[in-house]
Amino acid sequence: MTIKLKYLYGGFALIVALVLGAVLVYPDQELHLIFCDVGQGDAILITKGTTQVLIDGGPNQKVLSCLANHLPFWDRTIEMIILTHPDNDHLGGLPDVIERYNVTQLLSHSLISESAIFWAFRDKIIDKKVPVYSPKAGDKIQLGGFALKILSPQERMGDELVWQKGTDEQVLGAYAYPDNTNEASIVTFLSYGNFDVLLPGDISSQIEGVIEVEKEIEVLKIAHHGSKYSSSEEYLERMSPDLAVISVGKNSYGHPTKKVLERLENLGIKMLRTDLEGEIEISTNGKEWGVIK
Amino acid sequence: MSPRNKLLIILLLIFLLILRWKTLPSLPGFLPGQEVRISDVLREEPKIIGSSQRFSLARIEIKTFRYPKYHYGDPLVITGTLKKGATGTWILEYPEIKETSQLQKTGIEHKILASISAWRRRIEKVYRFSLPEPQASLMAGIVLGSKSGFPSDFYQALRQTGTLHVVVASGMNITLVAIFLINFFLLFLNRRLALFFAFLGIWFYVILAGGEAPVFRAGIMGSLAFIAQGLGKEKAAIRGLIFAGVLMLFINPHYLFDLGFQLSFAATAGILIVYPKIKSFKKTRRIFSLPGFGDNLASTLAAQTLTLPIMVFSFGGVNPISPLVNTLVLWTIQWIMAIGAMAGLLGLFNQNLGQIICLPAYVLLTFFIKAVELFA
Repeated sequence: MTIKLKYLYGGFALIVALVLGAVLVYPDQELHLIFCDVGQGDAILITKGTTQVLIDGGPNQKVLSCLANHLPFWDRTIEMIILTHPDNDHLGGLPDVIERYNVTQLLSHSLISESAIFWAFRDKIIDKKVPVYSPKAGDKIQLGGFALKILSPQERMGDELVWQKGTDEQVLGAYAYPDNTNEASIVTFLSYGNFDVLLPGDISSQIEGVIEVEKEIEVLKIAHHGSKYSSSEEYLERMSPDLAVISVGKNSYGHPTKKVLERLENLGIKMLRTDLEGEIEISTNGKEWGVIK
Repeated sequence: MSPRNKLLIILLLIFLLILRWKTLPSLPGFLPGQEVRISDVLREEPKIIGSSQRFSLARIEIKTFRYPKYHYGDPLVITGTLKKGATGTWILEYPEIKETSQLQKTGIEHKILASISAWRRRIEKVYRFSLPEPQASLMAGIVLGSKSGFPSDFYQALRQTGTLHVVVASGMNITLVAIFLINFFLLFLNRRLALFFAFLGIWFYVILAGGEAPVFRAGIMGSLAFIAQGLGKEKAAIRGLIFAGVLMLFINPHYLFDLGFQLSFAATAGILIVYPKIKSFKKTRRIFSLPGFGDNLASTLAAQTLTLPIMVFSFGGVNPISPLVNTLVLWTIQWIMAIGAMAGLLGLFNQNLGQIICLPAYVLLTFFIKAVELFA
């Protein structure tokens, strides 16, 4: 075989394999809710067809493996990223995500955090011209067949000006995150048919007290990795989910705390932890749902 | 050359090496727990490992936070408390780092190096934008030798299966680059000019690939081979390798104790010396002449024959499945490099174009990854 023919056949075989592969990984019609295994932190991916929403990015690049496993390789667009709050264990992986994917929309407060990660994140957002929207309770988002509703905070925070290049230091200084960033978490309610999920970021019992849901929820993400200052008995009882998920890894805070685990057990709520299970994936057609083993 | 002259030359070389060794400034003498302040220009691209960023400055290893990201050519002032590392090096963990404007080097060579390094980052960006992980890291590793940003479990899998060498830019890359450049320039230049530009291209690639020991050595060797060819003398690759080794030891005698240097020298020597013997061994000739498979098996075995003693000595063992995995995956390298180089260069002008070109490589990269993970 001459060299030229070898490359011709080789190239042809590659393209055939590529097309086959592209068809093979074409997503199904179900909605998938994935709690990525990112160690101590949160990274929650919602996919439906070729539409994806990523809520937080975990502490580091581990989120990229999660995206690689659940997005078809030819889909380099994430329709929406929600940054609940700018703590390292929620923001750390996002600069890498922004660099590697087209992001259609970012939902985040327009406030400034002093961490180096935040500035790296802001640089990437500006660099890739990602549009930013700062939400408030009551905002509704329709995306590829499912709905997201914002339940907290009550007011819009900050000014989208902070995401613009050249905004000067003084203006930026006026829009700083409060000391307790957890309480500022963006709380999202996901609905797809009869399948409803509450994703409350790192809020504590104080904010939990004012969270109202219209429908019964199937899945609850336990706030703040199972901190004892969140997930009060009253709140858990009121939400009474079928399944509680704790996104947690090795940490020095004692997460998930015994207290929260006991409260869940007392109420008979089934619970899964990412530190024990690894990644947790739930699949639903809007009527039935189940955890994929 | 008479044996006596040969011996004289070797003795002279050894004498010069010892002289160089003796006159080398020794590692700075510090005490553990000592407070230091270093100011220097960063001369390498930091590696990202998990949530940390690592580089060395003034021969002190620095481990710091992932952000802010530092780059080749950044003038830094670092203050911190020294710790002694496991391998006898000095380490600063999470020191205070400031960028300074006073150190700004404006020399032309510095500008060239800094801008080539920026090119490298932009090409890596094309891959990261076009491919998922670990495909993107593997592509950057194969084409440019970058070891940054690998998912840690995949990096471990490469190590376990003895395939980590593919993410080190080395002789293989230089050979592929050289062959491509020569053929390309010969299309519209005469032989001498083509060789000259290929020579420049090789060194551009050496710097692009980060200038680490294996690619530097391969660069020297490749250039020597070209010069020999340009002068009309036959290629003397083994002499080229020895000369490259000696030259590198002149530049930095510490390389003698550098595992990477030892391994790459031994592997190349194995391919130059043992490979032809394996290929011509009568009883097994048929296995090693199987199309697409025999060459890879032979070259892997050849490289491992001479690296084995070093591996056993430093790691206490070698993975017996390594030749199998290498044979299975090595044929993909030249394709991945060709596609990656094209995607990287065109992607600099248009990211979407880069992405489309990257896609066929996805199939090969995925095959590579699955094979490695299967045996890890």
